[in-house]
Amino acid sequence: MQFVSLSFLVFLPVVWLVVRLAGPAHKRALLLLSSLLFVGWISLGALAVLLFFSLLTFYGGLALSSASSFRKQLFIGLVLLQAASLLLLKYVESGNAGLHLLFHEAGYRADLILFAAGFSFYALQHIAYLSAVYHRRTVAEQSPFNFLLFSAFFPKFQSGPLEEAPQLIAQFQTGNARPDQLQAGVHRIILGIFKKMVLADRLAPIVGRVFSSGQVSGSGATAAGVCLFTVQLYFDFSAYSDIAIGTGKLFGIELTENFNFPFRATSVSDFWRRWHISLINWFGKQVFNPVAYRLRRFGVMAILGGVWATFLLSGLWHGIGMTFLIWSLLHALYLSFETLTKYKRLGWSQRFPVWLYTFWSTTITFLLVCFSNLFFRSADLSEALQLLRQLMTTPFGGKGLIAGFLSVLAGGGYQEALFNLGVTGILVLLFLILEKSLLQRILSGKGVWLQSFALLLLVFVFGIFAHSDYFIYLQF
Amino acid sequence: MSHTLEELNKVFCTVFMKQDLVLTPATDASQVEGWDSLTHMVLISETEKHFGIHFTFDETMSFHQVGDILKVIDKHLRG
Repeated sequence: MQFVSLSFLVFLPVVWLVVRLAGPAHKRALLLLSSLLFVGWISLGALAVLLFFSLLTFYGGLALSSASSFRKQLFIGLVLLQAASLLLLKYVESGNAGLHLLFHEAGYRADLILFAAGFSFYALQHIAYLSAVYHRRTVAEQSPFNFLLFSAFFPKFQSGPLEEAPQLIAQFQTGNARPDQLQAGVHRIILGIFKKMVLADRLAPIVGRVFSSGQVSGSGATAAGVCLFTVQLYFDFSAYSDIAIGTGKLFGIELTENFNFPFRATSVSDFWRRWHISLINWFGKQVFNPVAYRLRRFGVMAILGGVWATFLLSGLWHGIGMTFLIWSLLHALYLSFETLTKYKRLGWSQRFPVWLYTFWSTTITFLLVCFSNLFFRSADLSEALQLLRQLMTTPFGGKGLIAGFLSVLAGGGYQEALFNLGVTGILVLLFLILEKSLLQRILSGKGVWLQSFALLLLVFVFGIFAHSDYFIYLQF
Repeated sequence: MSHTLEELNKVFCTVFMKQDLVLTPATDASQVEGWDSLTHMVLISETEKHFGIHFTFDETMSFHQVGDILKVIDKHLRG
């Protein structure tokens, strides 16, 4: 069951109504039941894997809190088991033939990916929980039902946001959603549906004409496709997060914000404080801080060590392969450069008017992120190299503006195709300009019904109703 | 300004290369240009060197404002 699907459109109101009618005393039990149903709907295998790892982590946490000997070994064993399973999943997802040969079973890869739905996300949350219990930063959860609900909570099950057990479990004990949470939840879900169906899914075919299309285009269309992929990824994943956060609010549960207007970032380090925030916070706590702490005597090298460890592991988490490795190396390089030139850049910033420096640094940051995403989106290294070669050619590939640029992105030079491209461009630009005020209206509640009505109208006029159930981050 | 705060102020001025910084116990990262998650550990290391103490990992993670650092420094100095 996916967020933008008919089944979820039925599932969510039914669950909400049942939880509401049953009252706060039954909220936890009903949320657990509906979450298990949600996971089981995806695949019974996924449910079995979730139950196994959740109960293992729960009882592991209890053992860690009471054990007086072999604590360290137990902790390492529990973390290694989930990390190794995660690595195995990424290895199989990356399509390494060697492993397929081991199993000799057609369709094994697809089965395993279904079995592992949500695992990339809840495994990280389990590791953080075990680490907190081991280091005695939190008390082990005493209720297996609470812990299972923490792992399975359906709004965040498949692609986050990543949550910490004590904070989320505490919210399961609270009453039903307040009226302001209900209102914000509904409007946040509508905003997410708009972002997904009107923006991300209209951009998807345009991006697809540059990536994995087999056609060779000039540098203009290639650069536009690469940049538009970053915009598509933002709309797609932030739409998912909007729906997850909005759904949580309907049950009185506040999930972590995952995005904070990332295209307004003035440096790559600023970008990473605004993009997939819950994941970068996880890496900050579990990888960057411990590595930097151990290396702190080496001054700035401690930061660089932490950055490289963080991004190499983040690349591995996204997938095993050269493209993800290059993506992670690029970000480690960007952040290393920023760390080493931090005070020089502060000096430069004071020599220019604020608006000019902000404009340039925002543009450069966006382009650096887009360049790294060329590798993130490419199916393999040869595709990435082909796109890089295309970036070195003439803007329109020796043709005119329409034949060599617009019709490449539009999927043909017909008037209808060009019109559709223009509509998408206008909608995307308008949204990026207005998104802060749209979100503020949801927070304040002023004029928000009119806003949501307009967004829904745009969904019916310009929305793409095919393939809306597929979110990019479901593959990770 | 207490002696510890005065000394910590010197560390901040060196780490963030800003000689006119004036800290109070309520100063937090948003008020000091350059104090972010990346530079936090350099600040910790320089503070340790300056005062001749060693923070634990959990202590370094509990520093949200200058007052938090002052409390832990005083605790270590008292021995």
